[in-house]
Amino acid sequence: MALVTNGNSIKDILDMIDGLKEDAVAAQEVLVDIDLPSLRQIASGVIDRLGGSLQFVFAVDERPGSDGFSLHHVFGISARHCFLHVRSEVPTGSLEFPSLTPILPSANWHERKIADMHGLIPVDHPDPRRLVLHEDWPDGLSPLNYDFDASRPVPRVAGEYMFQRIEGEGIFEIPVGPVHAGIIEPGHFRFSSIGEKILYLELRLFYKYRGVERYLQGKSLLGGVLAAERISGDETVANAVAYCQAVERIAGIDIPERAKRLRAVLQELERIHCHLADIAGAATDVAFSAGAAKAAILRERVMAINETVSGSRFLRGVIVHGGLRRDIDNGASRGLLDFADASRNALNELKSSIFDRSSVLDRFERTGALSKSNAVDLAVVGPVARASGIPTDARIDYPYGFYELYPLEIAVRNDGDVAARVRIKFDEIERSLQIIEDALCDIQSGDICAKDTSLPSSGHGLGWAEAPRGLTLCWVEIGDDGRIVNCRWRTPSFNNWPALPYALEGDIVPDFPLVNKSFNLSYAGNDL
Amino acid sequence: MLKYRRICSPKPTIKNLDTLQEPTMAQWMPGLIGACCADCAHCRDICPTGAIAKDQSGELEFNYGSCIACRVCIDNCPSKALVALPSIYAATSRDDLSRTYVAGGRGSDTAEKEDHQPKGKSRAIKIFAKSMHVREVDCGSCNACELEIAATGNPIYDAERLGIHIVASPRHADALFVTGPVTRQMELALRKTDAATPTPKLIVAVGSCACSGGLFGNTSVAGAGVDQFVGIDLYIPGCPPSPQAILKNIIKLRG
Repeated sequence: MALVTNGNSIKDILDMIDGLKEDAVAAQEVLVDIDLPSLRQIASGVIDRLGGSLQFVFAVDERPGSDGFSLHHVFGISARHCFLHVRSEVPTGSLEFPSLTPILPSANWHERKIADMHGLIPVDHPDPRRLVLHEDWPDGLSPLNYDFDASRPVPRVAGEYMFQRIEGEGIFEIPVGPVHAGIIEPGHFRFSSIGEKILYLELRLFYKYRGVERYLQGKSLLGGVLAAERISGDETVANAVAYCQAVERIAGIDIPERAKRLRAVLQELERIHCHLADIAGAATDVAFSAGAAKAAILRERVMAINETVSGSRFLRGVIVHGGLRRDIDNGASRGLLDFADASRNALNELKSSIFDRSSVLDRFERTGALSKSNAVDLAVVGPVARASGIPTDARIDYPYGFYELYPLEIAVRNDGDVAARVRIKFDEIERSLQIIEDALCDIQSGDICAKDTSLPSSGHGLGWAEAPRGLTLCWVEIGDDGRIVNCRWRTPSFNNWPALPYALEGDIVPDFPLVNKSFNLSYAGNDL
Repeated sequence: MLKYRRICSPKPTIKNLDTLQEPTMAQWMPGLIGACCADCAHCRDICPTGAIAKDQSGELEFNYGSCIACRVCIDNCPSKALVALPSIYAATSRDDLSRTYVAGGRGSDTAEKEDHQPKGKSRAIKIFAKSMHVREVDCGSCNACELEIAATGNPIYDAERLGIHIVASPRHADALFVTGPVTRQMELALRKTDAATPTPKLIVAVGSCACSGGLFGNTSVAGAGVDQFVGIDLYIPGCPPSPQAILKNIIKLRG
């Protein structure tokens, strides 16, 4: 359960966090109630003095039961292995809250999303345009507010999205999407370029906005798992684990050791197939089809293993709050160990076939470099952050499940370019194979699901996991009837998308697909 | 003179697709096979997409277009009457995606051996029997369907050898593979892509979201399936349908 406290100065919070020490590992979520006016001061204090990063901002419509809206800022404090959850109330009758974007650029999209979803106004936000809802959405309809009827069609109105315009002699715009050339998800990219050089890239996403958070309201806990599995196909396990851990933390459920280990195995299998798809994509984008074919064959082997282990190529239908819905039998475990053993050679061969080739390196190196300072400012997560020299990984920073006691060494590189990101992915696949072996080698038979999964009372809490793309976070609120009242999601792609244009500075338009692929961003997870 | 015939592979059949990779169980869609159903309504209550219903004549109707293969009904059936079907149901009309079983009765003793044969709809389908250029349009899927469509082109399934080629523009396409429930913000792009695709054309709904709206569909921001917006020639349900299921049904449809 979260530790709850009041505090209105950064000193209170610092004192409290200092007082936590080892306790923080057990709590991992520290909830602080503050007054809205002190938000900026506290936020900058948390960043400067605790080394925190703003990971998640969301609002909750507390009407009609209570007054107004509550505002939640979640800071990751990796040095203390905990999340600081700062809660404030938007005063009744007011729809305004102070924007943190001028001091914390990572708040940008979060605040614009809150403005769209709830009709709240981030005061002093440098870019108050809409984010999630497109221009044909009528003003005044806020899809996450209680008075919005999600079953009725919303009329379309005339409107125009104002792209940032870069003007000058020889500058032209290239619009791309939302339907792209490859088999990828929809999004619109507007390049302002001079010759082939990209001057500016503007992202226009959220074509896939499905209303996941709205859908989850009032759903059963199991319904929440099924929805979490379908937020983003290649993050099925990670999102399900994040959601289930939130529920387990609220209910105080301790899952059996076997389930912890098998969840780790499933998460690593997912990481492997996601990274391999990515490596295949990067090889395709530099026209190295032989390497792409090798990676695709290896990935297909993982998908086949997934199907043997779980019945689903995307490992769906296995994870549930309390543990697992189905066991991995000994035969499948042995198959997994054989697979892990046999994959190493294939992986090394693939790695050398890609990195021993000057035509590939010529495209990979110094392309799409994301500087460490930009990555820090935008609170970038996952392999993208690790390739830019930030040693962040939820499995170490905020350890959970099997990883709590596992001596994981994460791969970090400093170049920040496509080559670094692809190398990181190879390193991580190797480690994932090792984790699978370590988790399975001395696994004991036993229960796979906690016996008592009933909820003692209503409550709310954060859940997280390290998805293949980085830290995925969700916040779940459960009501007295044992159903979901509210659920908010922040998948790693939501943090990483805004960093993409910065990585492209100075690159040429034909490099965009490659850089985009090396970031490996999920549109579905971002758009929700 | 070169002998091209030797170079080309023999006409691909469904049989040699089956030998590629044996799935353990097709798509995890539930059905009543062999066991006795107690007619307890548990499956109907628990289904997250309402894919199981009871019609007026008292028969249990399974709508595979809505099924997201979550296996919750199979896992929770008190009389263990529900099992995963070994076949993949695809159809040329949405109604054909449903199957009925006698509630409270005993299911058929054997699963249908052959997959449901989608009926050929028009002359257009025959035109693409040997070569079909495909454009994929994602209208709000979770990206699993995209990954599986992309996987049809990998060296294991190798859709190119079947004449199925992914193209970059709808202008070059004979067929559109559409995924997702069609979100409000993708509707216009879908309509434009459809209009940009020259006729004759095939439009295939890939995945349960595209067939019926799936889990997140049928709200103010997401539609209830692709056929609300454009005409569909083939529905391939699944969450997601495997690359094998996609290819098999395309080959069957075009003959």
